[in-house]
Amino acid sequence: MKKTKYKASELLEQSAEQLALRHQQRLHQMTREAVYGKRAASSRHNLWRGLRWPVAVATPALALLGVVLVWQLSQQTTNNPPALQMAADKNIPAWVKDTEVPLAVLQNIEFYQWLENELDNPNHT
Amino acid sequence: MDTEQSRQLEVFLQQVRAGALKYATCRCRDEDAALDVLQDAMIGFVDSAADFPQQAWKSLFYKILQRRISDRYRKHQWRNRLAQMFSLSSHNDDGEADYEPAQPEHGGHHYEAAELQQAFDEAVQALPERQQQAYLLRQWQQLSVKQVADIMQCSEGSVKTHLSRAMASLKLALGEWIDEEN
Repeated sequence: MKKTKYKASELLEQSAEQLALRHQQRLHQMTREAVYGKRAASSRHNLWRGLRWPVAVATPALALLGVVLVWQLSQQTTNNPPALQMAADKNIPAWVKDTEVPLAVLQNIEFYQWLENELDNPNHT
Repeated sequence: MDTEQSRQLEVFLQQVRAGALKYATCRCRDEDAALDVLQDAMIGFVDSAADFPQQAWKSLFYKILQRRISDRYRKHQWRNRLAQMFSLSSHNDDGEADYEPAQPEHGGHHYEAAELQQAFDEAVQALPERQQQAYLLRQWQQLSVKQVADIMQCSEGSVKTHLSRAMASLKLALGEWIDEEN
């Protein structure tokens, strides 16, 4: 019996053609979409796959930068009170700040003079 | 992109899509996944084809396709590892990572054409990953060794080694019914 030899490339070609025939419509559609950019209603494409990589990298980087800036600002507010507040603090007599002896404050006439002055001139500090 | 170039791209994709789908199916072992990967590769190819001469399109297209397949493979590997870590699944559902060498079970048998077609498909599927890549790209798609090496990101010597091993495996699996002297 004479043996018929088959070429591997022909077998693969036949197999590929059969496979393509089964998916003919989708292959046609994806070719058109790729070339003419008709990518609508492709549920398999999520947002990230549609974006180019610089956008994908830049978005989380910007988000991280924003978080760092907000955190630094909050740290500055905590550690460095604003200039206006610092100026106001300068006008408070030392004995008012002295929380060790609150009774002494209440008994000191200077406290009431200072308080009266503050009430008369609320914008002073 | 002008109309003429769009037309050229469309014709090119029409010519290569059947072979590319077969290649992707062999690599992914799943027709739906292969179609998704091919769609991504087509879009990626169209985006960058304008920067290359038309003679380089086939090599470029397979390079992009191979990258998409590798990305998908890596993603699945991670998913499988995570699933195993959380004991959600202890086996590989899609069977993608299990590459086994061809078994010479059909060697020397007589084949009908349809049977041979199926046996040949199975033998190609059973080739180890790199051998399969080298075989399909060089022997079937007729890309040069240099182009295949570029796509596979290895040396030309490695391509030749993978190719000769693949052909030896196929000969062992299919006996004398396959003629590679073409």
